[in-house]
Amino acid sequence: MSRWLAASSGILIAVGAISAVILVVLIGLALLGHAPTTVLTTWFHGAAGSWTRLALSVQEAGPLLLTGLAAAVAFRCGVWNIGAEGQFLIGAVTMVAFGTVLLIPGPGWLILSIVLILSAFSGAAWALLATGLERWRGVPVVLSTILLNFIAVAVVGMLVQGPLHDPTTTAPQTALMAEQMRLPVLVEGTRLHLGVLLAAIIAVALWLVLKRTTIGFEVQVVGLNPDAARLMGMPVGARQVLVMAVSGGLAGFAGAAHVAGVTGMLSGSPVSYGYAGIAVAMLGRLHPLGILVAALFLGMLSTGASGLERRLGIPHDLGDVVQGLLVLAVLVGGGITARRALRPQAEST
Amino acid sequence: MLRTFLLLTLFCCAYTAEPLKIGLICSGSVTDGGWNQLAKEAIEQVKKELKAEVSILQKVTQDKAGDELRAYAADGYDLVIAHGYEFLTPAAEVAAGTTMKIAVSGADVARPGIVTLDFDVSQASYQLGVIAGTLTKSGKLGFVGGAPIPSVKACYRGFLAGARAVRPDVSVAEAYTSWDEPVKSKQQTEAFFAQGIDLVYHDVDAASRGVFEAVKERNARNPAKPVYVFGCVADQNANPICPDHILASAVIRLDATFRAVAESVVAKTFAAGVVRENLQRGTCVAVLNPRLIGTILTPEILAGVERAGKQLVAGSLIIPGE
Repeated sequence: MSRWLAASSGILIAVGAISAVILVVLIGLALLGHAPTTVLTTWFHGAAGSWTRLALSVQEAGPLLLTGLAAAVAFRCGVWNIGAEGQFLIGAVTMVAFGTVLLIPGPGWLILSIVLILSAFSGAAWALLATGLERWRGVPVVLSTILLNFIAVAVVGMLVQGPLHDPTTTAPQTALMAEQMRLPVLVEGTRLHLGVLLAAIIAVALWLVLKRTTIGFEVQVVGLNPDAARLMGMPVGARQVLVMAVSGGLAGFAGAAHVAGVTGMLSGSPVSYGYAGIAVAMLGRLHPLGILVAALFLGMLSTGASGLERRLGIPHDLGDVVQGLLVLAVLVGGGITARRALRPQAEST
Repeated sequence: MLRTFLLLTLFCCAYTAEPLKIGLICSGSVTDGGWNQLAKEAIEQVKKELKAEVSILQKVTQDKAGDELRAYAADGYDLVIAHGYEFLTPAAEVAAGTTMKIAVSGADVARPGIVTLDFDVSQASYQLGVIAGTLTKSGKLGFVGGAPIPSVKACYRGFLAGARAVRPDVSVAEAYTSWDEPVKSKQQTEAFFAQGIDLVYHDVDAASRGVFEAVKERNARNPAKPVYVFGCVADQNANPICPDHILASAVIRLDATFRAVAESVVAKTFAAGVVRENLQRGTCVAVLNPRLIGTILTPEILAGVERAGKQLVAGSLIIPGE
């Protein structure tokens, strides 16, 4: 009963936060002269007005889902990996390298699968640098992962303008990846690719692992109270390392799937979904299935926002504003319920 | 004859078919006072003249361009102009799978299915260089660009060649800062002035505000030794920050280019390839500041600019490549 209550209150907070933010934004836009009904219908048309548009939204949700899971998995274990941004880029650049200059001969699907796994490993390796720094030099992960993001951006920039640079252009960009290294597209007229489907499967798998397995249980106990976990004989350090590797691997896979599925190349200033993943994780209340819903919603928010700009001339930055407000609202909502939960205890003592 | 035919086609289309739907994808903000604002104004001109339906997307990154183009295709747009050379690769990929017409501006290479619009401002920059070479007291000029990309480097080369043509000992300091950070371009311009540079040419779009502010502040502090600046891409001669110290602007007549592309879509003559806009075609020209003509811009300078223009158009004067 109490579990059910806790779960439903989480959903209530998310729904309440979303409604409040939408209301505030609609009022703001109304003051600027945009009728709320027009804004809502235009947004919806942009996000899901046709199968193609819905597919574009789902395509956009793919990387958000993976980086959201990457953040959530780490946060659930109390490992503050803020480095999905960098891990995403390292995974992406690994994929592009094997899709352009380091082409391996062989059956396409096999090589593609191997390179995808390799990219995930490269993202994991990048994340484990932070764990190493913490283990041997006492650098807090929350700091090192952020700083490694900047290094990753510089590394990618260097590779894109150096060994991976497209010789046919002077723009800072890589060449287009070879056709056999691109993920198959599921819906024509979009780039909704196989990787997004894999991401959804990973979300469900992760949920099952956290819920049903010993390792999943240990990860959560370590996150709630590492001292208690240690006293219970759980391998705290090993779980933290594992979680960091999985988190980095998910972000690396997100980057690889995004370039192999959508862009087919990397530019000098690549769009990354790393930081947005933290928002997705918060909005999904760190629950894999919640994150699945949150990623879909933010994907629709993003494509809908670009539809708003296309039709009404409202800058699509609005989407980012709404996303930021949503996370704030969810955190505030969560804070309020947490304080409510504590109050009776405080009075009884 | 062709013109009448074209007008007739347009006339028919205006009454029989649905309005032409044109999308414009900009890499930055359309209030940048340069490249993107120019595109917005040009597309609005086209909207008025062709009674087209127009939609603008701002601040689109290279990675997102493909998706935005696909969304426009899904919305049934006839033509999308992707305004930035970084959009060429994603545009070429989208063009392969749609009947929507795509033009990419700022690029100079052909891609299947794409019209690329190349703007060569180096000749107009040469004409500005002629003015700078004549007017500089210190013999030191400055050039600040948003990024060392080919189109910007071409402006620098033209400016340098023009200045050297009238005064061979002139030096041009070059620096590249940012497209949208006025603070950086302002600092750079101030540094130029501190080095004794008395004329600055820029190609930094939204960051041009910083350049103009540096000029304004410098002239307020030291009115005895005035410094001057040139505008780029858009006609910035009337810029309110320092309108009396902008000598001239190298201007792209984007509306003419955009109209031609839109008309080719209406007339069904849209054909992939590179459209080269330059001084010869009258689309990339130097525009002198009318307030300064007759005072600082003497008849001799005007004659020099015109002479250089004629030689550039005739091909007897060629700006050296990289």
